[in-house]
Formats: sequence, C-alpha cells, structure tokens
Amino acid sequence: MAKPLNLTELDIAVAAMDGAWPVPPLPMYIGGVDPLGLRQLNFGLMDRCIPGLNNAAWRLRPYIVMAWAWWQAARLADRDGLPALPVMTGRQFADRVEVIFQAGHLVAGEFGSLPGSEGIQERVVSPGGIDFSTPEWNAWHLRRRDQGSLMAPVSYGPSVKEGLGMGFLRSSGGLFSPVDEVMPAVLALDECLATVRDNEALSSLECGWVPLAFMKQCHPLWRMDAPTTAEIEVGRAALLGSGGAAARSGTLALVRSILDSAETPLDADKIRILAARSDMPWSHRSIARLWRAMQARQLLRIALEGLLNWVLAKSSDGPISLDALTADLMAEIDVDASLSMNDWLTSACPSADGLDGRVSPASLLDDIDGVRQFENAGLCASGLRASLQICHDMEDDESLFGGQADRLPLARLSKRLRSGGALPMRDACELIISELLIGQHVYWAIGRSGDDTQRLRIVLDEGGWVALHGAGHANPTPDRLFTLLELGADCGLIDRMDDGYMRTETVAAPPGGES
Amino acid sequence: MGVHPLDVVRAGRWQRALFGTFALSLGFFEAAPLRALRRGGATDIRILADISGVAGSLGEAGAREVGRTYALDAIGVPTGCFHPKFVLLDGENGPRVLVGSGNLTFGGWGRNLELCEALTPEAAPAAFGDMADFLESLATSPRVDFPRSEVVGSWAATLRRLPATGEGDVRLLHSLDRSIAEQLVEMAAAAGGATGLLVASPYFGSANAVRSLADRLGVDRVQIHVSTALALAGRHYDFQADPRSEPVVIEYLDEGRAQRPMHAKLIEIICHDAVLMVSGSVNASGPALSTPNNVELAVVRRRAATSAARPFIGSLPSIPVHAQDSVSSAPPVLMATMVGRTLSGIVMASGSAGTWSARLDATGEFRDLGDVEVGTARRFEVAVAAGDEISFGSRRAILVLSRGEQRIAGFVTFPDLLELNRRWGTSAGAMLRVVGGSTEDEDMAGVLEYFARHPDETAAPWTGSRGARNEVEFVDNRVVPLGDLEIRPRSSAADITTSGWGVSSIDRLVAAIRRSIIGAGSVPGVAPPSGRDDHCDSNNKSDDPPPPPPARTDRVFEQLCEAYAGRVPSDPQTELHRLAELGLCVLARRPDAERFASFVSWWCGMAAPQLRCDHDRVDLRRLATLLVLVHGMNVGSPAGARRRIASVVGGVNEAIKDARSAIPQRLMLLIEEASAGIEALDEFTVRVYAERSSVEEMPSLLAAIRAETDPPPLTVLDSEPEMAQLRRRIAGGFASRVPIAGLAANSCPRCNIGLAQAEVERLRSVGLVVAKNCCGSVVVLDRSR
Repeated sequence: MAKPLNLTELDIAVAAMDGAWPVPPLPMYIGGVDPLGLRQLNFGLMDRCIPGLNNAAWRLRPYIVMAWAWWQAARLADRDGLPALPVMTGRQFADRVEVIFQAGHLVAGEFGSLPGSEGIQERVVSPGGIDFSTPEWNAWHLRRRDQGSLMAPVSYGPSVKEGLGMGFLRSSGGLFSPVDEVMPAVLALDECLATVRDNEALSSLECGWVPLAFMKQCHPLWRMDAPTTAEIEVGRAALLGSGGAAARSGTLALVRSILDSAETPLDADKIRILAARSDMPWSHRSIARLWRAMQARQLLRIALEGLLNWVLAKSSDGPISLDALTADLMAEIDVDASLSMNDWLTSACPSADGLDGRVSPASLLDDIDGVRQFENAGLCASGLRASLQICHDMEDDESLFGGQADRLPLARLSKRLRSGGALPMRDACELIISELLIGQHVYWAIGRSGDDTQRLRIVLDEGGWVALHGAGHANPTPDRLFTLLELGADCGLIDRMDDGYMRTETVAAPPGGES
Repeated sequence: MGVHPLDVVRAGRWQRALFGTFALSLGFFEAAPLRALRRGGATDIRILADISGVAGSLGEAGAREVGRTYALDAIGVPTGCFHPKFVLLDGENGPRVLVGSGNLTFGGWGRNLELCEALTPEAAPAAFGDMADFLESLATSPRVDFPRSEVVGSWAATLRRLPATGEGDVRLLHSLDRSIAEQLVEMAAAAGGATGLLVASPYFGSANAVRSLADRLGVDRVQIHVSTALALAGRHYDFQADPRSEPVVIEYLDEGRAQRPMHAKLIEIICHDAVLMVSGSVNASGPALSTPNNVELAVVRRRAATSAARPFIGSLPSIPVHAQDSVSSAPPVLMATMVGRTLSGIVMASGSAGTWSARLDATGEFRDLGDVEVGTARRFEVAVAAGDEISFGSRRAILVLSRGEQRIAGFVTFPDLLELNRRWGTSAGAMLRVVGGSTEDEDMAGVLEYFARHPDETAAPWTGSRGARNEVEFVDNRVVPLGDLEIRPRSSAADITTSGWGVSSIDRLVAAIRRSIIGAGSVPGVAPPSGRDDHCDSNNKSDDPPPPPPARTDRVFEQLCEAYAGRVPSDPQTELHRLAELGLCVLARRPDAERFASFVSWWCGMAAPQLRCDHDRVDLRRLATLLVLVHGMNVGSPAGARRRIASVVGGVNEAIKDARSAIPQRLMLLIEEASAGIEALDEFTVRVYAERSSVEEMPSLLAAIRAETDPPPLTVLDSEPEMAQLRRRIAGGFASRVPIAGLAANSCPRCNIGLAQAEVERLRSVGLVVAKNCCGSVVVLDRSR
C-alpha cells in the first residue's frame, strides 16, 4: 500500500498536472453477509439457547478421536523418554491421526461433518497414501490448522477445547491433553484401536509413508456411527453441560418434550417451528420463550434483508427517489395511504402453513426464505410486522429483545414504531425504507466499517438512490439446532431415524426440563 | 494517476472546512470526508447544499451527526439551482480550494468520472480573491434564498487576508451576477481571440448552449467529447443540430472498458495566445452556461496546449434513458435550530404562512409538538417539552411540519453543540459522539483523555450525586447563551447545587456523558459482549469488521487511574465514584476476568481506608457495595466483604439488598462475562449475610465504654486477642481511660506516641490494637470520628 502523500507532496503533484484531472475511483469492496448489522444479536440469542456449539461440528466421534490423539502423543513421548512433548511434534502427530481418520471416512462415503474433503482426496486418497515425513506434509499440516483440520476454528476446534463447548481438551503451552472426565471415552477408543495402534502410523511420533489401505483398515474401528458406551456417556455429560453450557440441557429438554408429543419422527425444521410456537404446552417455558425470541430476531433479520433486496432491485435500473420507493412499497404491501402505522403493525401475518407469524415465527421465516425476496416485499413486510408483534406480546422483554441500539433490538424498535403509531402508512413506509433499510445499511456499510465505503450496496446521488450491487437472497442464519439434535442422537439422548428424530426411552430426562 | 480530493482532505491539519454541492449524501460525507477531517482536528465544518440536495439527504437515515458536529445550510435558487461543487479548507498550512464537477456524494467523489482542480494561494493567488468574491456575492445576492448567509462571511474574510493579487493564470468564475458564457467570451478576447472549442459534458439540454457560445466566440470548429457511459440522465450532444460539431474522444476522459459514468464538465477554448481550460460545475447547457439561472462555479486556467483528442468513429453509444425530476420541482425543506427548549426556524418555501402540525423525530421517538404558526416571513418557533436528551441524541433530529397533504421536513441544528465543537475542539466532538452512541476507541479515548487532563472541570456530575431518582426530578429550563460556552473557568464543585448538573453547556455535556456511562440500554462507548469469537463458526459469521481492540482507551484509562488516585484523599466520594463508573465503562468494552479483578481490587483497596458514603449518595453506596461484594467473591472472603461494606457504606444487610435491586448494566455484564457470574454472586451474598463483622459490633462496644458498663457478648470482637484485656479494664472501672481513636489516628490518643504501621493498619481493619510503644493500652477505633 502506497504511503499517503503529505500536503507539500500533494501540492507538487497537483501543480504538475497543470489543469483539471479525473478523480480516481474510491476503493470499494463488494460483498458482506451482514448488510444491516443485525446478526450479532441473533448470535447472542443462539449462544443462550445452544451455547458452545457451532453448525459445523455435529458428531461425537471426532471429539473422542482428537482427545485420543493428544493422549496418545503424550503417551508416546513418555515411552520415548522425552522430557516433554515438543509442540510441533505433538501437533503433527494429532493431525496425522486426524488425516487417517478423515481419509478412512472419505473412502467409506461417511464424511459428513468432517472438514477438508478436497485436500484429503487430492493428497491422500488419490496417491493411495501419504508420506508424513516430507516438507509437503509439513506445509499442508500448517495450512490445515486454519482449514481442513478437525482442530480448525471453523470445525471442531473451538468446541473441543475447554470452555462452553464439549470441552474435551485442555490447552497448555500450545499442546492439548484430555480432561479427566473424558478419559473413559479415550480408553474405550484405545481399546477399539487395539489391532492397529501398534502400527507406526499411530505408535510413533515420527512417521513416513502410510498407505491408504491402513486408513481403510482403521475405519471400521472408529466409525462415526459406532461410539462405545463409554464414549456415549462421556459425550452425554459434556453435551448436557454445566455452568454456562447448561442451557443446552434446557433446549434438549424442550426438544424431548416436542418429540414426546409427536407420533412420528420430526426433522429439525419441524422441531424448530414447534419450539418457537406460542400456542404449545411448552411455550411458557423460559427456554421456549428464549427460542421464540431468537426466531423472532431471525425473522426480523430475514424480513429486513429481504426488503433491502427489494430496494436494491428497484434501484438497479437507475436512480429512484425515496418518494417513488415509498409509493412502490405501499403498492407492494397493498395498504391505503390513510391507514395508520399502528393499524398496520397489528394486522395479521399469515404464513403458508395456515398459522400466523405471530404464533409461529419460524413458519413465516421459512416462507420468506423460500421466495424471491426482491419480488415479495409484502411477505417480507409481514415478517417485520410479526417479529414486532411477538416482541410486544412478550412485553418487550429487554432480556430477550434488548441489545446494542445500532443493531435494531426489537424492544427499541417496537417502542420507536409505537411512538409513531399514528403516522399514516405513507410515512411509515418511508420510515421503513429510509431508516430500517437504507439508513441502517449505509450506517453499517460505511459508518461502522471504519474504512470509508466498504461493502456499500446502494448510494444516494442525483436523482435518488442507485444500487451498486444487485439484489441477493437473505438466508436464515443456521441456529445450531441440527448440531444439537445430531449430537443428542450420538449421545443417546434422542433417537435418530431415517426421516427425523424421536424421543428415546433409554435415557432418563436430562436436567433442565420444566413442566 | 490523479490526486483524490480525499487525499487533500486527509493530508492537512485543517481547522475549518466549507463544502458546496448540489446533490448531497450525508451518509457518504460522514463516512469519508468528515472522518478524515476529524482525524486532522477540524472542528468547524459546514456544508452548503442546494435545497433539493438537502431534501434528498433527509431520506438518508444513516447519517447521524448532522446539526451536532457539523452544520448544513440549504440554499434555494428560484431560477435554477445551487450547483457549485467545491471544498474550502483552512488550517495551519493555509487555505486550499478544491473545485470540481463532483457532488458531495459517493458518485461525485469517485464512482463517476469527475474532474477536479486543487488550488493553492501560491500557485493560484487570484483564484482565492475570486473565491472571496463568490462567497460575498452568495451572501448578498437577491437571486439566492440563503437564510443563514452570514455563515460565509468569516470564510470570505479569511480569503481576503491573503496577499492582494491581480491577474493570474488561474481564475474562478461564478454565475451569480453574469452568465459563465459571457465571461468566457471576454476572457477569450483577452487571450487573442478564439479559434476552436472543445467540450465535454454529460448534459447539453439542446445544442443551443454550445452553438451560442461558439457563435459568440466566433469559432467554426467545435469538438464534442463522446463517452460510452454518462451520469444519470446524461445525453449525447445533438450533432445533427449543429453542423459545425465534430465528435471526438478526449484521451484522458476515455477509460476504455472501465469507463465510469461521466459527470465531468470540461470546456476548452483554443485562443491565439493560450488555451482556456474551464472545469468545475458548468454543464454545456443553457441554465448553466448561457444564462445565469443556476449558481455555478468554474476554474479557468490558461494553458499552452489543448487536451489531446482523437476523432470519434462509429455510431454514438447507446445510453440508458432515465426519467429525472426537473430541478424546479425540488421539494421544500425547512431549517430549524434548537436552543434550550425552543425550536425555531424558517420554511424554505413560498406560501407557507399559516398553521401547521409539528412533529419532532429525535432520540428514537416521535414527539407531537402540536400546532405551529409560520409567519409571513416564513419563520416559526415552538417550545419542546424535553431537555438535553434531544441535543445529545444518538441520531439526527428531524422536524416535520404537515398541513393536509403538504409536508415539509428539515434537519434540526443545535448551535450550542456546534459552538462547543468549534471552540472546544476534538474533545467536544469525541464527547458528543460518545454521548450520541459512538463505540469507537478513538472517541472513548478522547473523552478519557480530557477527563485525565481536566479532573477539576469534569468532576461536577459526580459531586453530590443523589442517585437516579433525584436526577429525574431535576428539570433544567435554562438556555445557555453561546457566549457562556467557555472552557474555563469551570464551575467549582462547591457551586453545584443540583444533582450532577453544572452551570454551563460544558457541564451539561459532561453530565450527559455520565448519564450515558451509567444509563440503561446500550451505552455509548461500550461494546456489548461479542458472542463467542473464540469459536468462529463458518456458518454463523457476521461480516462486521472485527472490532479493533480498544487499546488506546485502555492505555488512557490507566493514565487516568494514576492521575485520579492522587485526588482521592481530597474528596473520596466524588473521585472514587467517578473512577468506579469510568472503570466499569472501560472494562465492559472488553470484559476480561484478570483486568476486572485487578481493577476491583485496586478500587476496594483505596476505598477501604478512605471512603465513607453519605446516606444520600445512593448511586455510590450501591456501587461500593457491589464492588466490595465482587472483590470479596474473587478472594473468597465473605467476612472481609461484610467488614468492608460495614465500614464504607454502613448497615450491611440493607446496603446489599438495596444494591442488588439496581445492579448497573455495565457491572452486571462484567459479573457475567468476567467474573464467576450472577449466580455465584448470589451464593456469595448468602455467605456474607451469615457473617458478622467487627465494624458492626464496634458501636455496641463504644456505647458500653462510654456508659462504663460491661460490653455485651460480641461474636467477632471477642475473638480478637485485645478484647480480653479490654474487658478486664472496663470491668475494673477504667472504662473512661480507654483510649479512643479516630480514623485518621496514627498514634496513641492518650500518650501521643506513634503507633507502628502494622498497629495502625490493625486498628483500621479490626478496630482494636495494643499501643505497644507507650502505655500498652488497648486503643479502640471510633469510625465516626
């Protein structure tokens, strides 16, 4: 990056031009997945419903494999008489175990939830094995730390470490070791690997070529779908959590109540909808209220981002004034100009499944996700309205709907719109466009980025608003429910069926349930 | 590669800036030029914009600081529009003028193809005199509706102070008095007469303006630039209507496949003695060039050669057709100012006299202000039943007048805040932004730096605070004249008779900062917990820029703690209260267990020997109780916590109950995020309830000594080794000879012989100590002395 010129240097540069010069373009970076800055509050609510997990790490066995790998590395260092396990040696050994585990599963077609299939295919499966003593492996290993390894930040890494996640590994000076509570599972896996663990690939800190055949040989011994009883019990205790992670058991109890009420298996989408409904026997539970609040926030986000897509589509063919946008929005949502905002805000928000968004926010969320949002401003506006109604129905509870003012917390938004409840819909539509959509976007794209004009999608110029960026599609943020359900199934808390999940009768109710 | 106007704005340490524009994007302005100016230290920033530009920017809710840290003036031109695009900068390196074709919008600053000139007094001395002429004419021209025209006077005066100049190779032309074309014809004649004309413009209207200019110049060769992309509603020149015209491509306006929408305006008149290069706002259209309908501003530069151009071959590129409102249909706007509780202003539209309904949109709420009478001079005034929360709001304030279908809106300006910003420099700006919701490290650090440098001037809000209940009751109806807005002398603490409110606008601003620091909801300068950034989630990602660590704030806060620690003995309640609230605010930006524990320990260490909370210091009592509880929890000492609360606050159970009923949001966040959590605090509190402390038993002991009777059983004190001796003395009838010391004592009250330091510390913590250096008596502490 060139060093900025000082004023004297600029004066000299300008003098050399001897006349008017074309203004260079401003740097601009297209992109960004959070055009309105709404996601962080949603993540906060997800953290409260399902703390410590992410959407990528949803099977139990990889956690145990990582714990075993680090335990084995320490055991081998001890066997070799090393005073301590060198950090690089430990990391490379654990990563080698991961590669063997990943490659076996990839070949067997059971790679789900594991990261880095392309690298494994190219560097291990295609050549028929890999030499773990080469500089190429060293370089790949370093790259895998960011992407491809189970320990990577976008995979199992955050959750496997001590904290709010599963917490199987304790960190110390760049190395890891299994926590005491995990040892029964580690020893159980060690027993499973009894027939292969003496192979150099698993029994030596330094290792050369390991053929793919060995990886295939290992696969049935540590298959994803065949955890031992000890592993299941350790996993269950970790999943139910304690302290800050205990909220997971409340959500699991809610899930079990929902499954208990169902006669057939329910998939994650159905469970999500039922958990968020306001008219079910469990709806009064605090965890269900939290879940509903989270889905209402999700609904608000997708509704507003959907409406922003509509604005971008409208302003893609040339500048459009705010007045024209306002008139178009009124036509799209089919309201009379004289209707008051308050009347509009309290009107029905039907969803495709016959429920009202106020009762079932996740239903309306699915509807908005399923349409071309830039052509369905009316539906998106329903989503906005339903999210506000839910907030109001739940007494604008600050603990559920509060948050940083510039991220449009629902409680604050509800209060603001109610203070203008008497506004005619023309003014209300203008407010939605100028403040909740464009204003919020411009603020987040340029005001908050601290770097001038990054991520800006629409600009104001002569004639009105002009889109710099075509309309896209806003998706609901994955809310970790699938991870919870899959881990719950691996840990024996619920049963996994072909077409969904059912309550298991083999495990007593976890803590956190409420009548 | 050209120089970007933003480079010039960034490069200097400008104190003042004045912008002129037709179209206006305040969102862009606040993001780029304003940010750059602020970094350079500019405090007096103003935009002059056409009335339609102001009207358009009203729909841009992303802009938040208008009327608070910079001013915006609307200018109406009934015959056309206010069309110049310029930036005037003034600072320690002297003034600079930027004149170009780009509006103060994202498009005008680089998305479009625009032309720009940057002028210095050394290289273009005459142009600065011309700029002064323009501003003076703008302020006085009857063609212009410029209600606050006096604001440009100081700029004109600054430019006039530059060395007098005569002719020059670079001049500025404006169209307030005469058409641009007329002036160009004169200049061409002075340059030996014109022989050719080269024009680039996105707008021509018809071919008449160019043909007319060519006729008046007497040229028979006219070259017109053809671009593959034109700015909004741009049209190609009507070559068929003008047989003299010849399509060309000016080399430096041809960007090939990366061609931006051309909004540049360029006229080159080839004369016998020179080439006159005309750039700026002037389109090759009638209202801009031929007649003085619009207000335009152009740079005319004498050059030796014309710009390189090549013949355009082929058919004219297709240009999308856009409908565009004519400039004459610009919606009306109003300009309002709020001083104290009075909103006044002017409606920039004719026929506006009469009664209107007024609505104020500020601080996130709509306020119905009732009916407002607009006079024949278009002016109005209305009282607002609200106070500083509007001035210090976190978003722009907009006043809307409506009458039937008519609706006129405008920004509200707060002159006292602008004046504060101007006189008080960047500190005021940082404070205004923090109060307005900024979470930036730079702003928070700016506030703390000011607090560190000016501890006396910023103490008022913490001086004698009586808690939130009383603050609500306080109503400040005063209007502070601008002349009172001085930095010093500040009101002394003794003068403050109201709860945390000072007597000037600066006091009010500092008070607003305190309110924002302790207030409910999201607090300026405080970022909420960021979720779980330690486990990035490929699916759960927000593309918020990763917040930079508040390194500067942390650093400045350390300096502030150091500076304030020395002030604690002089006024422990004020200084410790202030330190606690500022500390919590800073720590909550980046919750960290070690930092939080360290701060609480440090604060309690200072509070224990020095702080005794008055009964009416409700906020301080609560805060002290909670901090002592947190510290006690951290070190696992319920007995110590009980003793400390008894010493610092008084009745322990009542203090805890009261404090737990109103835990400040910041502290709650820190307890959850950087401590053992609120449940652990609950458990610890139960343990504190179960404890007893020597401090609480001491009044019974002192009462017995004074009554010369045996003390009742004292659970805690009786376990201290000194008590057996003391009981014997009292039982022996020597109660009146028991030495009783005050909190400040460091010697035996009976012998006046100094106590060892360890003995002093024991006396202060336990309340009893044997004076080993002298009489060997048990000295008893009376904390009320």
